[in-house]
Amino acid sequence: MQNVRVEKLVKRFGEVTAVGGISFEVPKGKLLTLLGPSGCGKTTTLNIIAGFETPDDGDVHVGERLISSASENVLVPAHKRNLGMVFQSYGLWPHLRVRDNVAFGLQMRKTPKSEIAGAVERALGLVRLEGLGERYPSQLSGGQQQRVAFARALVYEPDVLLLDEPLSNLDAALREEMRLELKDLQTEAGITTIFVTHDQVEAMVMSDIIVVMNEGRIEQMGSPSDVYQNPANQFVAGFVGISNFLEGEVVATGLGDARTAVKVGEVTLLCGTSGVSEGSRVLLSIRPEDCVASTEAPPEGTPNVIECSVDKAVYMGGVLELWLSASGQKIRVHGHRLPILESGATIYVSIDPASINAIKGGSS
Amino acid sequence: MTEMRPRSFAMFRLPGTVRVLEWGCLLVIGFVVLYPLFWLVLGSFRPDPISTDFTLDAYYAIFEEEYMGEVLWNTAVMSAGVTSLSVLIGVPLAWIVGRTDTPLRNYINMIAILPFIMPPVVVAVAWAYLGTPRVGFVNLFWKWLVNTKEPLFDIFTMGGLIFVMALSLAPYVFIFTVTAFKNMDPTLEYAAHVSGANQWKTTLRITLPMAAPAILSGALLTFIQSLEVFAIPATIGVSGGIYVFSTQLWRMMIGIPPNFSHAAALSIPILLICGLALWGQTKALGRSARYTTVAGKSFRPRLVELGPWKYVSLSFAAFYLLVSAILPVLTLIYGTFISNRGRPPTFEYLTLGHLVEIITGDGGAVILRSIQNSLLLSFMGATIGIALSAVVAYFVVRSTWKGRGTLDFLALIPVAIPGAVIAIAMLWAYIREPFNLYHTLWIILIAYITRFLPFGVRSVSNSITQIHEELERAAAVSGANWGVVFWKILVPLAMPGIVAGWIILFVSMMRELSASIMLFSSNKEVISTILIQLYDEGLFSHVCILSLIIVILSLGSVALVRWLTKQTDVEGLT
Repeated sequence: MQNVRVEKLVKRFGEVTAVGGISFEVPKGKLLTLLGPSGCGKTTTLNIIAGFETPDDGDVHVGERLISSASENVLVPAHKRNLGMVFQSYGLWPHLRVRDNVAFGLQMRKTPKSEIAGAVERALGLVRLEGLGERYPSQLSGGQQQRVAFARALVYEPDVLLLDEPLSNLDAALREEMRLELKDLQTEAGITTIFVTHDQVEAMVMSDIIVVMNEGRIEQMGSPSDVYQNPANQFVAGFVGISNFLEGEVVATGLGDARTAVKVGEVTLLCGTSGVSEGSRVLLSIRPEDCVASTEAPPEGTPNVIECSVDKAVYMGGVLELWLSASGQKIRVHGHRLPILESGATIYVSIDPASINAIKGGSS
Repeated sequence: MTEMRPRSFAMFRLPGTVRVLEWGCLLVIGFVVLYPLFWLVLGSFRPDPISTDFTLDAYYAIFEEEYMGEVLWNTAVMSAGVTSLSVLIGVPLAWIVGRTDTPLRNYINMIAILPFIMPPVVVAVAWAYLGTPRVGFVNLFWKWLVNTKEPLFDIFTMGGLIFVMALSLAPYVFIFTVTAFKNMDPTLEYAAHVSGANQWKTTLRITLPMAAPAILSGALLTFIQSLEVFAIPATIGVSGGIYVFSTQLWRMMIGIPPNFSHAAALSIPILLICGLALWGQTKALGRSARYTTVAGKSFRPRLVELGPWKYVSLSFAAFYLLVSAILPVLTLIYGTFISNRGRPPTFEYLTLGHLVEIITGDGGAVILRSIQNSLLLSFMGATIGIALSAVVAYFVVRSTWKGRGTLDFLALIPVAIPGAVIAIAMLWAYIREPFNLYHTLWIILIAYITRFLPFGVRSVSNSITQIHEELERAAAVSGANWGVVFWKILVPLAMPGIVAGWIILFVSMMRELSASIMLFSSNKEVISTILIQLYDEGLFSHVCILSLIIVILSLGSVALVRWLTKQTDVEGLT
C-alpha cells in the first residue's frame, strides 16, 4: 500500500487543455474521488496515472517512486507501475475463463503456479464469486462481471487501485448495492484508491476525499461533508447536490451566532458565513432540503422566514418538490408532510442560518 | 440474427398475395439450388446422363484412375500451402492496418478490395508472364541485376502455384482479421498492461487470441476458395504439369466423350469438404462477433507505436501490393501497348496496333462475340439475380414467416459449391427433358444466377437490415398499409444497396471462369474462356488487353459501388 502524489499535472490535446496543472495527494489506504462533469479532465488524469497517456507537464509519485515526470523525462510504462484498475466496460477478456482472467496479473508477475490457484480462489472469495471460476465472462451477469474485474485488479496486491466509472454500466438498483459493496471491499483490502465518477451520490457514499474538477482544474478538494456543506463556489454548489442561488448585499456583520446579514431583494437573511465585508455582494447558496416549509407562519422570532407563493408543486413520493417565488426571487424547496398545494397558495419557508452559505464574489 | 427484434410484418394485416409470394420464393430458390444438387448426387450413381441404371462404378473408377492419387496429393499440398501462406500474409497486413501507426495504412487498407479489382484469372496470366524462367520479366530483371544466367525462380511449379494463389487469396484472411482488430475494445489491452503485461505479451495473450476466430474464419474461406479457383491451376499449374481437383474435373469434362459420371462422383467428396469448411467458418465468425463487438459503443482502437519499425511494416505491405497488383497491372499495360514482347517500353516500340487488331484481326470476331455474350449474360444474370435476391432478402430480414430460416439457408448453400461443381450439376440437371439446355447460353445464365445468389442476397439484406424498422413503424402509425410502406419507404431506402448488389453480380459474372469453362460451347464463349484460350495459344498482347479490360471494368464498378453505398469501409464488397 502506498500514497499517491500528483503534482502540477498538465495534459493538452492540440489546442485544448484537458488537465490544467492539478495537484492532489491520496493518503495511504484512502479513497479519493475525482468528481466532475464529462470533459472535466478526470478520466485523462486517471489515464495519466495509469500510464495510458503521456502528460505534458507535472509529476506522479506512488510512495517514493516517481512513475511519471515530464521535467525529469521519467515515464514508467503501464505494465511496470504495479497498479490495479477496474474499467467502465470492465474489460474482461472474453476468450479467457474467469479464473484465467483473475490469474493473468499473477502470471505476468511470474508467481509460481502453485500459489496462483490459491490466490485466485481467495480473490474470487473476496468478491463472493466462489465456484464461478470455470465460467466465461459472457456467462455472468453485469454485477458479477463487475466483481470479477475487481478481483482481477486486486489479486496481485497492487500499490494503488484505479476505478474508472466502474458502476456506470449497472442498472440503478444494482448500482446502489455495488456502491456500498465496493466501498466495503476497498476498506477491507485497505488499498489506496482513486475513483473517477460524474455521479455525486456515488462520490458522497464512497469517498474519503472528493476532488471536484471542472475544465481541467480543481474547484474544491475536501471530505464529502465539507464539499457538500461548504461549497467553495457556485460550480461546486451547483454540481454537488441541488442549490438555490440568491444574490445579495452584505448589510451587517459580526452579529453573534448568526454572523452576517445579507439583503436579498426585500428580504434580509442571516447566514453563518464570516469573513465577508459590509457592502460587498455575495451569492447565497441554499439547499432545498435545508428549507423548512410550512403552511402556517412559524412562531415569532424564528430567523429567516420568507413568505412565498407556490408556482408549482410536484409530488415525488416522500417529498413535495416546491417551486416558489418571493418578491421576485425563485427558490426550490423540499417540503415534508405537507398537503398537496395548489399554485398560488401561500407558504412559509424558514432556513437555519447555519445552512446558508455565502459565496464570495457574487457577480455584481 | 434479428431473431430478438419485433419484425415489421407483425404490425400489418398482410394481403394474401404476400403469403403466396413467400411460398413461391421458397419454391423457386429451393428448385434453383437443390434440383442441380439432386442430379449431381444421382448422376454419380449412373454410368452416363442417358442411362437410368444404378451403379457405384464411377466411385470405384475415380479411385482407380491413373493420376487420381497425384491429383489428390497436389490438391492437398496446394490447399494447405495456400491457406497457410495466406494467413502468414493476411494476418500481419491486418495488424499493420488495424493496430499500428504505420504510415499510409489507410491506403494499404485497399487490400480489402483487391480480390474485386484483380480477379484470379488476371493475376494468373500476369504472373505467368512475370515468372517464366527464361523470359519472365521478374527473372529477366534478376538476371540483369546480379548478372547471372540462372533465373530467380520458376513460376510453373507447386511453389509458384501456391505463391500466386496466396497472393490472390490472402485478402480474404486480411478482411476478416482487420475487421476483428478494428472492432476490438481497447480497454481489453489496457487491462492487460495494467495487470503487468508488456506490448509483446499483450499482443500474444490478448490481441491475437481474440482475433483467432476471425483469422480461422478467413482461413477457412481461403481454403474453400483454393479448391474453387480454376484460373490459377489452369494456367500456372497446367503449364507445369500440376493437376489439382478443379483442373482434373475439367480434364474429365473436355475428354471425348466427356465423363459426366466420374466428374459427378469426384464432386461429391469435395462438396462435403467445402460444406464442412463453410459450417466451421460460420461458427468461427459467430464466435468472433462475440469477442470483438461491444454493443452501442464506438471507440478508436489503440494503435501500437512502431517507431523505426514502421518502415519495415510499410515495406512489407508495399511489397505485397507490388507483387499482387502493381507488377501484374504493369505487365498488362506493357503487353497492351508494346509492339513485340521483350522490347523495352520506349516510345518507338509502343503501338496501338494490338487494340486495332483485336477488333479487326482474324480472331477479332470470336473475341467480340465473347464480349457480347458476356455482356448479355451478365446483364440478364445480374438483373434476374438481384430481383430474386431482393425478394429473398426482404423475406429473410423482415418476414415473421416460419419458412424464412429455410429460405436463408437455401440461399447460402451455393457459397460452398465450387464453380466447377455447380457446372457439372447444371449439366446433369439441365441437359435433359424438360429443359434441353446443353450447349446454350441459358445453362450458363442459370449457373451464374445460382452461383452468385448468396452475394446478391447478402448485399440487399445488409442494406435492408440497416433501415431502421422505426421508419416503417412510423409510416404504419401514420396510416400507411403494407403495400404503401413497402413501395414508399422500404424500396427507396434499400435502392442503393440493390443497385450496388446488381453491380457486384454483374462484375462477378463478367469474369466468371470456373463454371463457364465447363459450360461454354462453340459460338457460346465468354470473355474469361476466350482469355484462357488465347493464353493457351500464346497470344500475349491479346491476353493483356482482355485482362486489362476486366481490371478497368472492375475498378469502375468498385468506384460506383462505393459511391452508391457511401461507405468508407469496404467489408461488404467481397
